Amino acid sequence: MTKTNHQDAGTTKPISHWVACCAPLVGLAALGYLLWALRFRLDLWPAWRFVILVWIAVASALLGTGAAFRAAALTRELVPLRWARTLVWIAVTLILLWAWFPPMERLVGWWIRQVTMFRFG
Amino acid sequence: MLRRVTAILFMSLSGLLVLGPFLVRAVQRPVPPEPLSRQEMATLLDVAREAALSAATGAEAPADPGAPDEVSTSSRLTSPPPGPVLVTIHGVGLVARRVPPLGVWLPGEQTDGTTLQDAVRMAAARAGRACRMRRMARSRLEAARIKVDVGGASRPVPLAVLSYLRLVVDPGRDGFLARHGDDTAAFPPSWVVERTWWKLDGALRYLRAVLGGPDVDLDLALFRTRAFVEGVPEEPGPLPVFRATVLLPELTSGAVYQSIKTAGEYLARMVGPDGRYCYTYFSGLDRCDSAYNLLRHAGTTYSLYQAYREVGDPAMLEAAERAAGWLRRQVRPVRDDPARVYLIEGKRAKLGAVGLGLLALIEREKAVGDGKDRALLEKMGNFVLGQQREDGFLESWFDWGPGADVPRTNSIYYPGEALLGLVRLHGIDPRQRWLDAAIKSARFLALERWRWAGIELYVPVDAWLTQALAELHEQVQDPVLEDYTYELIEVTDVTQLRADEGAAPDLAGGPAFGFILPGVTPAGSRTEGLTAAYWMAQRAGHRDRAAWIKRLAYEAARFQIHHQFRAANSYFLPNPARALGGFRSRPDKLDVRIDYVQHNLTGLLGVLRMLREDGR
Repeated sequence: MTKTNHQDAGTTKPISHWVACCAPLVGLAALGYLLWALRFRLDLWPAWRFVILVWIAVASALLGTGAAFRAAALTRELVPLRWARTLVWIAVTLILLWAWFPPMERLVGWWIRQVTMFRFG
Repeated sequence: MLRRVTAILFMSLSGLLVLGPFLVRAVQRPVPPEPLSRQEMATLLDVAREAALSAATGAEAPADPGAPDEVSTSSRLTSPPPGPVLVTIHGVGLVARRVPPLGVWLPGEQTDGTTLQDAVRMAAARAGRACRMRRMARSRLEAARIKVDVGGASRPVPLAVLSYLRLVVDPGRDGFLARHGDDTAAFPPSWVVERTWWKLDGALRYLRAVLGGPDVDLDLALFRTRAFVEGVPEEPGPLPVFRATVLLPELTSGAVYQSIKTAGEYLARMVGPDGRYCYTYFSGLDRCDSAYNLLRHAGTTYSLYQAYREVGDPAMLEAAERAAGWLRRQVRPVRDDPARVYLIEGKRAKLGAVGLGLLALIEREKAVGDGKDRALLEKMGNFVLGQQREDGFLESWFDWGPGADVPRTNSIYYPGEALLGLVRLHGIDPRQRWLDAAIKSARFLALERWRWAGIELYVPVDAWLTQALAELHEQVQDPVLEDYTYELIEVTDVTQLRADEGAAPDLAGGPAFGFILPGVTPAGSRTEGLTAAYWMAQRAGHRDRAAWIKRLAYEAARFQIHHQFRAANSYFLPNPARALGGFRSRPDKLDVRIDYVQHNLTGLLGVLRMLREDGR
């Protein structure tokens, strides 16, 4: 059986680039949504919800942070060009803002209105 | 290296997908010419009619349209035309897929001293000659309505490919100029709507046919026009045309009453002798389809009784009675429980059908007051109660026995429809069990249905639920339900297109859908919810919120009436009298389904009450 280069080097097999790119984005967006929900839409009754949510928030934060570091390393590998990396991080920031920005529905609604007016202006 | 190329490709593609449509649209958007004054439009229509009639009857068009006066010396009329000029003669009886007589003047014909008036005269004479070739009767020609399009500068389109054109063409506002060799053909902007060629394939077929054959290569450019059409007794001309419709000048109680009256008359006309409606009327083709839906039949009958109660036209009552008779014939008793009945459609028994059936027969009771359906209403109410789970949720489907089709997924809207039915039933039959079930259902829908672990994941744009909660507020002042009603209004507000943000004049007040033109029916149903919530806000003393909701309702109402067939804006239809009062599905489509009319009619009844309160 032919060995791959990274097996020779004793490293683990790298995850798919698509997963490496998309998972952090999804994880961070989920964390942002949760923060937003915690801050604005949370109904804390009954108490078990609070306990579950804290656990979800902590787990998401850890996953999200880990994913962010992993993403930083992987984007250097995946996107070697500095300007392209900058674009990736601008996109990540926008998604986070999108998810976390308090009046989310208003922002989404505003965006849909702009797209409609631009298309049929 | 490969990785680098992949990354660059990935980034470029992402950027193109996000920004591309906007950039392309910005580059491709043509600019219309300066607007013309009312008097200038009237003069040009007079010039066009005279030239068209002369050419159609074989007489020479007069060289001079008349003695110079204040208008004909207007600088715009005596200046060179800013772009192509198109004159169309719209006679009744021509179905959408055939083209009306058209005369075109193209910028390539420009010689020294050709004025806009001259161009209109030449285009109209060509349209008149097209009438003569078609042997159009003089009486039909005289009754036809003439439309003039004054075009602006054109912008070339690099790709004559349908998918690209669908991305960049604003339907109903952008026309085509096509060149092949030395020949040029024009396609008027409004034909995309008027001829039902909103997919644009018909437009390209037409241009290729004019320029020589189905395989010719087209060199395309886009242009926009200022269009105007001759008036009608109800709305004298000249009438500016925007995306193939004539906009309502002002929202008044008179205009809204007229809209409700013609919508009610439309529905009454569409009920057949057996009590079934013409379900979808394709106004461009002047024919009905064969599909049907019991739930929408019930909702439409409800609105027809409402229209009768407002207008008092016996023809509406007579038609509504036939429709109610058909509805009663679909009622079936629940096996082993004769105290409950459901409505059957094929193999399905829908909660929503019983909910809207309740609304229809309760509205009939209010209109006629003979108590004929009291027992039936109670059995329908019992059916709704039988569908209620322990937690308050109302199940959407009923398993009536062997052979029943019971889908697994619950409907978004049926519970709201049934809830409104229960609230209204309590209004005419004030027994506590209806109210208790309604409160239980309302609290589940507001506090449980779209929540997970306490997080409100989604707020549906549900007009039935909004009406139900707002009307329930008359009986039970629950602050939680009141807040949720305002949340339902907020989701309507955020997607409503605003004139002050720069929405096109025919779209302001409509719901934004992104890359699809706003739907007229969603606007109508949202107005139903808005008007119900307005009265709740008034009762609760929330003046600021009431004013906010009223503003939204007025904006939506204008959008709705712009897209209702009136005498003024149905100039291009084969049978304008039959379509009168119908609401189109979208600004670029001509189909009128019964529920489109129902939602708009009911919503406008609420707006009428608000306008009367304002003394407008």
